[in-house]
Amino acid sequence: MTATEAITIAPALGEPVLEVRDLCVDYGVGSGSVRAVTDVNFTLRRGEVLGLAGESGSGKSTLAYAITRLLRAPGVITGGEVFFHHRPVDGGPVQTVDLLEADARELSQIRWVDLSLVFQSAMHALNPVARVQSQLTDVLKRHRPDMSAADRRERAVELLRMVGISADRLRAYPHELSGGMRQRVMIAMALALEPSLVLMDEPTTALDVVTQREILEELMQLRERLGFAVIFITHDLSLLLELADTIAIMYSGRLVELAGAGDLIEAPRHPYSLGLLNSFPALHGERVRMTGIPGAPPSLRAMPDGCKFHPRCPHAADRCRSEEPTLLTPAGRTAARTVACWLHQDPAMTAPEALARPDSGTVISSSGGAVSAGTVPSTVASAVTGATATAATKAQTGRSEDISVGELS
Amino acid sequence: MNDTTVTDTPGQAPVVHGPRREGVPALEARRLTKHFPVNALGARGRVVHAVEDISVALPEGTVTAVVGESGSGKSTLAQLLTGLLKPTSGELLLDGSPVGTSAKQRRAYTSDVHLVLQDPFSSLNSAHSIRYHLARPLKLHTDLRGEALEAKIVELLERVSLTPGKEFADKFPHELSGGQRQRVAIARGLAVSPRVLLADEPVSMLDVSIRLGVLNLFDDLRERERIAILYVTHDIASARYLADTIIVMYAGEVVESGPATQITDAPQHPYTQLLLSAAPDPSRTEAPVLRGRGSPPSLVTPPSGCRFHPRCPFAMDVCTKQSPPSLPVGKDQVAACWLHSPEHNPELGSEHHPEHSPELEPQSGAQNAAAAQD
Repeated sequence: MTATEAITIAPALGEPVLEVRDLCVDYGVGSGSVRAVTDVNFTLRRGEVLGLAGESGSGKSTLAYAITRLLRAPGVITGGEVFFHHRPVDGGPVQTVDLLEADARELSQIRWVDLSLVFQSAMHALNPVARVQSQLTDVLKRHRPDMSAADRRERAVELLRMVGISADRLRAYPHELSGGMRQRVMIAMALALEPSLVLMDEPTTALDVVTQREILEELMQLRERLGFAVIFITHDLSLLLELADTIAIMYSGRLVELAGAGDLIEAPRHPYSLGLLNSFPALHGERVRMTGIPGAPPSLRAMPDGCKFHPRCPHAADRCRSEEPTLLTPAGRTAARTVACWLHQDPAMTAPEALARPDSGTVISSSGGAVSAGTVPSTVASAVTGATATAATKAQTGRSEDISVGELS
Repeated sequence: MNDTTVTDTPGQAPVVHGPRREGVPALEARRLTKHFPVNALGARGRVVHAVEDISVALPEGTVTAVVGESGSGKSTLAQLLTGLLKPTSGELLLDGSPVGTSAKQRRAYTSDVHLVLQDPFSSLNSAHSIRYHLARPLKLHTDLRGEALEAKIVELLERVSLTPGKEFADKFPHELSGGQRQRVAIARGLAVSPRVLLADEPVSMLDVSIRLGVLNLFDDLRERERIAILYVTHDIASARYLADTIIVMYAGEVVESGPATQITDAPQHPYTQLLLSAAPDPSRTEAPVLRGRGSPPSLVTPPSGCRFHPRCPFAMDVCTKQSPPSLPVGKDQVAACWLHSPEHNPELGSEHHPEHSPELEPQSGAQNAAAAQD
């Protein structure tokens, strides 16, 4: 897949830190095996936040575990390369390691030092019978053997303060902390050795919105200060739109669209991305009946031929049913983005209006707030839902009492 | 009872939350309170103040959303309404008449008021077919047997868009997706032709692309079958999408209620404003300013006065001493906040007529409300 060289999003972000090439992961071996991740390609740059969104079973967690080589049997990495560019010595030369080829010694020098992970369920990821302090200092003891116990404790206090927890919580056990505090401890732990890349697997899913917002704010501030890159895995696309630089949409183990966050909200190219965007009711504007995506994701055991999304796709054509599209830059587009959809690759097919909106051209930063002209309400999301009303559904606007009984998905 | 502008002074009729409709609501709860005893050593005699003096009316053909953080008492409220949990005080009225306590009356009540649970993966028994799940309530509550029973099962499945119903009846829960399972759970709720459906986080376990399908199903049930629905959720955006009225709960109390779009477009209570500023919103152009950090209080020893005051950026003296009544802040909208009382917030002025000026906001809260409207 040569087209993936074209993926250079937000070049200002600097040198690549992680390059994933044609990564494939199977569950099981032999005839009973299923492919959970297929030919995933992307490049992550220093300080970039890559949002990885998809439904349950789309392979996003499997991908994260494969990248960190934490995948457990029956998961097997069956192909591809994961290049990790790191500096073993601070300020030293960049070394490139293929994580999939690395042996245990190499991995232990990289894991947590330069590449750490925040798991979804902090309650299960923290040791219930060890105090917060010993869990925080444990990693320092292992990787910084020359640190004294007092220094380690000091660093633990510093780490906790960094995530907004007071030092008196050091002696607490995980069960004495609230859900939000546990997740903060997890984040502090992940940042203990100042890694250049942090993978976060649904770090805030189990938390209340207010706590979630607080943690994300802290995380973004820390990223600004420490400059680590983040792969943020979630099923909540509306959250990613606010915090990611780049968003990758996964479906059935494949990346189906990869674009700057601003481009993805304003001008999604893949019907699945559009469907996902239309699955989140807006907080503002007119209430319109939304349809979501009909059907359910396919089982890994019974994958459809061709494009894996075609049974649920309203625009599916014959070619979609027989041939699988690859991730390519759509023809005639300016922004650096890729999509795996025949609508944008087959000259014989024309994409519907909703999937062919002009690119914003630049990556919108979370505070930029560029708004395309000509859309009815003055916000991006309203523009998205507004277009939904006209293009994707024939919904009538107005109060929901006025909405006629439509076809159920 | 339809009078929304009553102030909640002791001895007077309580403010009834819920959609305003003519006639007698299908289900009404009056001054429900639930205190759970604490059994921990050294804490005996103390109680968890889970639900505090809440009155709700659910008219037929409406959806009422209850929104709040975990621990706000929203699920307890739903369970109180099912009658499965006995309230510490307060009463339930079905079609205007009190619900009795005899076994017969309770059975009649359970066939009229039905619960849909959060987790469709554990609310169905994996050892039984879908047919069994639907036949059970029918056998318990109706006289349908044999062919008629079978026909009813197929009809129920098709009502929730599981077609062909005959095929789905033979399946087992593990053969269905999450969304389909939740539809079975809803079909089971519909089996006994309930007047009221209580849905406790019915879509939070489902994938985003399937959620809307289930929400739209509730919408159809409201329109087609005139069922009164209580939709408990933590997702204020989906509440806005589906509900007629949103009730915002905090620490066991209702802090604000009113028409759904009014609540999200012009929140009047500082807590509602906090919730909205924290909710993910792609349309936001700037990082939101959170007002009132921290987490909900302990419900064993709730704060004095307004339970939100320790987190509230606008807290005044009176907030720490006296619990605020529900004050009218717009058409059919009430907020339990002293900021809306002319007596305690001099900026409002004495000529304040909230029902005539729904846009009027407390000076201090205006900025945040405006931010949420962006």
